[in-house]
Amino acid sequence: MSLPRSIRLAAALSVVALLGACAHPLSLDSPTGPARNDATLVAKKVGYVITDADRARQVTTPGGGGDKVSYFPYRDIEKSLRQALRSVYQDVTSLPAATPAAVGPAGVGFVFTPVITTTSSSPSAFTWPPTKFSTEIACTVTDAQGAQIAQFKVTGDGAAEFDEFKSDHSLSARRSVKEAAEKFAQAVRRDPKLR
Amino acid sequence: MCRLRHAPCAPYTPDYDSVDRLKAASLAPVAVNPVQPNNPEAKVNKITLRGARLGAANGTFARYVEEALIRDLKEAGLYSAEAPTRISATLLVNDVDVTGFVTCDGTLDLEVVVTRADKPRLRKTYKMVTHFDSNFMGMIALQHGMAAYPQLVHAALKQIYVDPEFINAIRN
Repeated sequence: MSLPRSIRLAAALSVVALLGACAHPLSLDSPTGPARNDATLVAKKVGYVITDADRARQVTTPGGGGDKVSYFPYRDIEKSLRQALRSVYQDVTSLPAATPAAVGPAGVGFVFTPVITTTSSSPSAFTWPPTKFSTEIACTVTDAQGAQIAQFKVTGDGAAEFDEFKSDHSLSARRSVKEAAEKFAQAVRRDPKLR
Repeated sequence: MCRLRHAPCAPYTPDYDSVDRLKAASLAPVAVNPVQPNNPEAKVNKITLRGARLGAANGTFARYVEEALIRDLKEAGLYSAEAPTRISATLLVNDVDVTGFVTCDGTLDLEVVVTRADKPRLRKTYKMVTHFDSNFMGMIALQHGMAAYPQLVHAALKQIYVDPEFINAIRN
């Protein structure tokens, strides 16, 4: 028994739509981050603002072979960002917002509010993991009263080729996040206003 | 790309908001007993994603949860291996199901027992179900499953850390 042509066409279009919607998940979580040396820490407690809405934000960018990759940049990069701040300051805490009501009870000296932007690409026609990944962290730093103290931007670039990423599809992304976190820590350390 | 027979799950990431709240709550130091069952052949230590076996980098899923718990307590400044307050946990249900074509579920039930100087302070089972995207293509569904497990553990541990009964059980 053959199906009517319209049903076969609809089924075929559904399959094409499903294939077109394919986005491979990536994890941006870097296993290592900036090292913490207790002897050189700034004796301050600081906070950073990543909201639940930020953590839930899913981003889709290009991979290889016409495919896409999707990930949660704030959720995945939070650990590295926190490690970067912990490599500079004695104590670090997350804050739900940069408002005085949220900042006041936490007793922090500075509030770091990051904006994360990512890009990815691959020249490959046959493999989907990105060979290049870029992570930009633009950060505004305010004091406990909300006055701006500093503003800086860092970018981490990660690259990975097939032989490397065949066992870790997220490798270029992880490398990019690791570099961005190291540069973030350096930018904070360099700025005398952030001591 | 070849079909995976062994799929490593992604690294665990803590819920820092709830970990920081524990840190700010002036609680007693706690130790963590090995999470059970530690037998790699136990049902809860085996998750299959459309034919591929999901693997925890550190051996079993019980160990994965134990290391996540210890790591979070260290982050909160509360971990001490010799503390009289001890957390014991048993995985009762532990599964990531990627049979769905559009969305799938992760399920984790964890029985938590808190004792202080061997006297019970809490016995409670925490149940967590998470939902995540899937795909009718097996390889993509598998990748979603690999990424979903750490989020399942993240959600389950967060549920424990924000529970007032748990917080009271480890309070000084």
